[in-house]
Amino acid sequence: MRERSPERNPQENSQCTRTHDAAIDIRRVRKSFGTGANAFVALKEVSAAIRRGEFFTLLGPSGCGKTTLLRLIAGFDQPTSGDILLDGEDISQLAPFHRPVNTVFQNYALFPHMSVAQNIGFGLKMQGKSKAEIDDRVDAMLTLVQMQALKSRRTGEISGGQQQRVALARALAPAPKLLLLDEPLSALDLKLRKEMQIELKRLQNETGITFVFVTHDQEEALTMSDRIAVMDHGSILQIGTPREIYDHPKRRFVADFIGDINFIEATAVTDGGQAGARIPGHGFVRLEDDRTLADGETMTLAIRPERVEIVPSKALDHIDGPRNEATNELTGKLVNVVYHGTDTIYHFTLADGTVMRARTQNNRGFAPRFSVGDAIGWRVDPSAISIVEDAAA
Amino acid sequence: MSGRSQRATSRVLLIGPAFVVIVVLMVVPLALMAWISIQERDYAGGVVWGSLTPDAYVRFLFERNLDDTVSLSFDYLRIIARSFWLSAMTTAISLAIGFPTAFFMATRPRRWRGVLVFMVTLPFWTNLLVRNYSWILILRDHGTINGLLEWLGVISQPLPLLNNQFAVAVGLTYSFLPFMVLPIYTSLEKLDLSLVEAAFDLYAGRWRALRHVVLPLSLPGIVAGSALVFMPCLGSYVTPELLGGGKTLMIGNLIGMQFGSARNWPFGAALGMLLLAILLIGLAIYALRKPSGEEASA
Ligand SMILES: Nc1ncnc2c1ncn2[C@@H]1O[C@H](COP(=O)(O)OP(=O)(O)OP(=O)(O)O)[C@@H](O)[C@H]1O
Ligand SMILES: [Mg+2]
Repeated sequence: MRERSPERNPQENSQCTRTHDAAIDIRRVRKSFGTGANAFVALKEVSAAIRRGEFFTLLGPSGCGKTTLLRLIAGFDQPTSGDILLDGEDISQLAPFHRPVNTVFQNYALFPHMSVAQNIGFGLKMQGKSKAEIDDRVDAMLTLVQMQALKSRRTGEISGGQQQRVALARALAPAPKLLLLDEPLSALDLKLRKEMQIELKRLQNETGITFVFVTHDQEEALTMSDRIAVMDHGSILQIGTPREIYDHPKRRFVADFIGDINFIEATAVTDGGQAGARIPGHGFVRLEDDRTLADGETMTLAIRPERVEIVPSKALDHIDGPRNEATNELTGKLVNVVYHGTDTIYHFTLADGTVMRARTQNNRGFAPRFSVGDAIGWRVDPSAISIVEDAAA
Repeated sequence: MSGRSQRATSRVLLIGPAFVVIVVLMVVPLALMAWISIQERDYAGGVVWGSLTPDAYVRFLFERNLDDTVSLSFDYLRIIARSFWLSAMTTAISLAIGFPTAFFMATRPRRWRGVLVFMVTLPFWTNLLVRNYSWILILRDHGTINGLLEWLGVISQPLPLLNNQFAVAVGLTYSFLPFMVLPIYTSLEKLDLSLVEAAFDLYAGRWRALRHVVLPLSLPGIVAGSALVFMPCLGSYVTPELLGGGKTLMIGNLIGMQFGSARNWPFGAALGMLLLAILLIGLAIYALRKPSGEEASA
């Protein structure tokens, strides 16, 4: 019969190769719906290796194919081409009830004709576990999600947050190798949502099960994930840790989708091995991006507002000079100052009219040192500048 | 004050028509039937009004011999038993055919479903007699089926398909199948298909997903459909008359006979009352059963 992974997976071995490590390996998976002229490609050549014990998040706007990918992993749909490997074994053709993978559905899909306890025990019952074993496991799950008191209630008689916990317990009860969660928190209000985020992380730590989590909420993705795959129009644009995705977005879409960001059009300057960029009407900025550039190549730079520091222009006699490697300072004209409570956002324009934003924390109260219309200087660390590919997916 | 009386008036106006219809079309005929069933029989047809006797009910189980002694007879009971048996068979066959049909319909794309529902109700647009006669053409010795089988060389003698219980069961199933399909379809259409996926996800194969999720959730439709098939079957008249060849009497035929050739109105009315009583007892048992059936299945 089906092999069950132990509750707690061994710590990842960093010596292992990436594919060997992968709990689930998605290889060039395509999915199209319909045929002929009506065919719609929901996933185009998606590849990803999800590691054992990882909290892996699929992040992307509505309709980008997150649910489609999850359904392929669960087995509700078959890929048009490509393979899905679970622990090295191809499962793409396996029926969902033969896959050691469980799902927390977006609408929970709890069985309305069964009690909370019956819902949680359903998977174990279908696996043919003994009554005693089912009872023990259901009790353990009820404790895990703190639902002991409501175990004989019908699923229609409990709140949304409680339903969410039951759905989670039901999916965890058979101890799957992989847990798929399709926007499980989207139906909850903000406060409950924050609570459940912490709860989910706790459950993942306690069980050691690999989680594939779907969301279109970037903040949720950043706070919860070990790694994030950003998707758009049926493709994965970038996979990385939250920091990599946030600090070093590789595509304009990724940079734009997550957090606030400034884009600047520039041309590459390669001089003595020092990578840099020339911003039209301004000057030279140093870059740290390890991408190899061709001299004169046009490119898009992405800079987070909180990495932009506004400085008095008087102190910058030397700015916008032909070369300014030491400070990476340029000029701008302040057009707006917006107070946001915890921080202040300065809007300023570059020579070509590009509007930029700089965000500073109000940790000493709100005391703007600049007023609208001022010529200002701004400074950015080379490590804070990402070169992003403009091309659409 | 005037608002309240206005409301009372509008209530009377709203309920009134339905009340009148029920009284005139149900209560009065039923009362008349109950009254007739305890009258003395007039051998020329009709009843001798005002002479009360339980004869009609006695006759159901006891036979009055020529010498006026009374002995037990199960002839009528046998007809009733056969009616129940045929109705139960018809209900079971309708369920076996109707459930998959309804499931198929409910899982088609929405734009097709209306067409499918219309197709299921299509036979109703033809007269019941015509439909039963066409079954005679299909089932008789040199009819469609026997003719085809003989032509294919499968059989040399025609199969006895007509004028027996088989023919009646076929005819009844054909007539009442839509009453099974439509309620089940309605409950299946409301079923959230992600529940079936959830069952698959939790290691239930197709049969067990059907048994543990689809069937319990479509139970109201199944119960309604079964009742809608079973009850009219029990009282059916035309189908056993035509396809049973007069040999496979059901209660309906027996009752019809009392008002016709046998000229025993009280007995006919008494049989009608008995049938009604049996059905009411069945309904009462169903209504008073434990409210939810799933509790025990865990
Ligand atoms: N069965 C189907 N037939 C045709 N097109 C489909 C089908 N299922 C999904 N699609 C299309 O595939 C695309 C991806 O859908 P999917 O449900 O994966 O999006 P999603 O990323 O989960 O979006 P959301 O965040 O809104 O849930 C959508 O454009 C959708 O219309
Ligand atoms: Mg979705």
